[in-house]
Amino acid sequence: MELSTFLQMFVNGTMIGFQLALFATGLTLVYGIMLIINFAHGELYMLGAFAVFFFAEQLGLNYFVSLALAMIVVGLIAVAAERVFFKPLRGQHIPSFVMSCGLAFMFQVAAVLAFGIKNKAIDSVFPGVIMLLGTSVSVERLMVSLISAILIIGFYIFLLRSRSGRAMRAVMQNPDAAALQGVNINQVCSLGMGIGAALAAAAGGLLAPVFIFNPWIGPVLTWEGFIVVCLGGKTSLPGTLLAAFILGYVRSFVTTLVDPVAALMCEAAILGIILTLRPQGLLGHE
Amino acid sequence: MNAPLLEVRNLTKRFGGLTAISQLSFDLYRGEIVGLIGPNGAGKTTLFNVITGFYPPTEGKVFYKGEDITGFKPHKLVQMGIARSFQLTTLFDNLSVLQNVVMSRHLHTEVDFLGSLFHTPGNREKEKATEMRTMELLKLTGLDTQWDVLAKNLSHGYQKTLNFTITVGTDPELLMLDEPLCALNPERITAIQRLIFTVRDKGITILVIEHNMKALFPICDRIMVLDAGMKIAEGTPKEVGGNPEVIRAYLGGAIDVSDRR
Amino acid sequence: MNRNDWIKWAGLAAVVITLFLIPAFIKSPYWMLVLTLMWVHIIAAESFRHIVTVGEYSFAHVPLMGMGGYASALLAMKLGLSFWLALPLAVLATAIISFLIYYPCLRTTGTFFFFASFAFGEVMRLCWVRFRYPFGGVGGLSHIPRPEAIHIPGLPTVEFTIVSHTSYYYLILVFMLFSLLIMYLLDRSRLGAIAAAIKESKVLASFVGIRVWRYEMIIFVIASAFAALGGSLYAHYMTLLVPVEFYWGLGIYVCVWAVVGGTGHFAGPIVGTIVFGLARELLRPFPQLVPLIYGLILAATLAFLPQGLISLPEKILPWAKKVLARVKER
Repeated sequence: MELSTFLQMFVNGTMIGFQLALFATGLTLVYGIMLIINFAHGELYMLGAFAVFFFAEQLGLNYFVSLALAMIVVGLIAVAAERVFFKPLRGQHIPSFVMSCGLAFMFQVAAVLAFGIKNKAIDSVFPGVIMLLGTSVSVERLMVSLISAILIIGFYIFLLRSRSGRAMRAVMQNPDAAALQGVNINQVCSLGMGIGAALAAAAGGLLAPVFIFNPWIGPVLTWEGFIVVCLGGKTSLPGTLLAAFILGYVRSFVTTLVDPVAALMCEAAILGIILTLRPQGLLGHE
Repeated sequence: MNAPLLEVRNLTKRFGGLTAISQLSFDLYRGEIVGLIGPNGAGKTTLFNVITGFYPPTEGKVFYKGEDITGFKPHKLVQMGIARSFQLTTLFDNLSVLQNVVMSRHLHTEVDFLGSLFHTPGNREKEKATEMRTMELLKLTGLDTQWDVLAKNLSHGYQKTLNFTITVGTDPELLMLDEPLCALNPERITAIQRLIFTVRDKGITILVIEHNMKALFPICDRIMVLDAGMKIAEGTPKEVGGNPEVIRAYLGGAIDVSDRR
Repeated sequence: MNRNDWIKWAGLAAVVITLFLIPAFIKSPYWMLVLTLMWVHIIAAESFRHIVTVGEYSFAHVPLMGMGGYASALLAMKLGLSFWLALPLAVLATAIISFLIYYPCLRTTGTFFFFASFAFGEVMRLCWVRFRYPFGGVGGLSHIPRPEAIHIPGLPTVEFTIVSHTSYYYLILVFMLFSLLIMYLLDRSRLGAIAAAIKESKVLASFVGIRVWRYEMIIFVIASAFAALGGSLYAHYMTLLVPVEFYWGLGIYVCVWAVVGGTGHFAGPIVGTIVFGLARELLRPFPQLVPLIYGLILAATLAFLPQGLISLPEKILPWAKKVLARVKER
């Protein structure tokens, strides 16, 4: 194997890792706080992409402004959904999961009604290609990784330093103890959902100029996010980061060295093995 | 010489940093009714869970009729004659009382799948026989009039009785009951006490966890006391009742004395 | 057997006779196709329910159905076996494969069993995509041999050509009725009672001496065998098999048919499959509406009739009796 091929795979894998990390963090956050598997998470990404499309292409706003607006709008939609649909089912795992599937479906229908069924795309925000570690990388994808990293770091700063962040961590560790200490569980749930949705929407908006999108890209993404979350340890945020990069490298290396189908098989196999042999994932606890 | 039916040697169970039971050893002799008491969190249910194969012990061994059964799975233990009831009522909720107890006869019902598949006359005879045997059992425990009621629709007292009936239905030699009298009215308590005696008269050995000491002491031959995972006393109900260690355990820890009920 | 039972059996006989008489009245090849495929779908939905009786939802079920199809097709194409031999062998092969797939899955339960079964089923399905030899890759297998004609002395030869709509209709109808009969008997047998107990409480089941792992696996393998039967019939009927047909979307449909019909009753999935089959035909002119209508039916059922459509008579009967009583009073 030539060095340049290896570096190409490494760089690709790292970029995929950032994408998955940004997307999956929201999923882990929601699971950690509310113990629900949100199968509408991919739709939040999809709505983020469409929102950026709406603000940037249809309203002509600046890309970064559109991105920020998309994060806010989708975040608010998710908070509303949490209040209306998830709050009454809190604590019931299977009904919550079924409800999230229903929500995913509703978001898909809404997107079809608002934007139609055709594929959409956004023009490149950062055109061009640069050389990184001896491999050519599109500036667009590099910026996506960079901004993803900034958002993830921002999220962690919020989680570790701010009062709301500490409240969220408390609820993730022990909801009863947190409630006794005066933490408003409802607020934390809504906030967690909103932030998780905003991160997913950011991922969608960042990748809108890179990949074409349509109302049905959600389920595949949710599936990938789910694999990341399970591999990392369902309630472990650091685990999600680790798993995101592991899967990024697996996908990158296997796709190049073997073929894309083999990469999909590896991911499915990883999920199956983790769920059956090590349910707590890499960094989670029983 | 009476060899013990059940021998527990140095049984220890740790969950991470928490030691639930520590170096527990005791013997159970055939035909005894032995009570197991202790404050909340003393490790009584954990002891049951380890003996009945729910989780393996960290240290120690369990012997049944001389054979090492440490870590054996539940269904294997039921086969060998050890049955156990649950503190939180565990029933086949959507099955009728009769179906619940018929299930408990699983090991004693001949397996004839082809016959059962095609409902051959021979199979129907066997099913009738099982049902009659089951109705006898229900009559014994007072559930015969409610044989077709769904388990989840029974009153709490009858649910506990059904739990007891299922456990007895497996034809055990050793019966382990986890708080069979919990939250029952006095009439039901007397009924279960009588059932325990009836069962013992059939030669079954009984180990009972109970908080209701007023109801427990009169029916036990021996009492064991657990506190913080260790055995702190063992003897006749009278001896244990007057033991200062036992009194201190109850006053010092979570108090759950039956007179309060 | 009392009067009610006689009425039920008579009704059932009437339905079966009607099914056999349909080809006398419906000649359109299109409708023959629709009905014949409906029989295959019923096999899939009912065998899916078989797994639900033990309390789990499996997403490896539909891929295993596909595996039955692929196995049967390959046995016929590569080894030159007759369909009549390939079918049972494919069922056997898929049963073994299902054992291997469900073996790790049995370490999990509930939602995680659901995902683990999906993961392993997907790995199997992706094998069909990845390995052009022997599975044919993305394009799948085409020109799958049709069943050899049946020669019974004294009766006309039954042929299975591209225009033998009626032959296929009866072939698959017979296999479907056979499958339903066996699954019904299983449901009412000791195995069915044990499955119900396991579904209610795995813990209590093991504490009455039931070897839960063993019985769960038996049920999974039996259900997979029937799914494989359906898959094989499908393969030799359509003569074309592509991997994308057995992706998770179809799995959701089968699950929806079974759940909306009602998994509590044996006939539930049959009702569900028929209702959705008819809905799909009614919506032919509006294909975009299909997911929407499906979603609405599912949501309405979960909200108002959680035990499925099959529980409708039970719910309406007491109300209907009241109305009748009032009318009689007048």
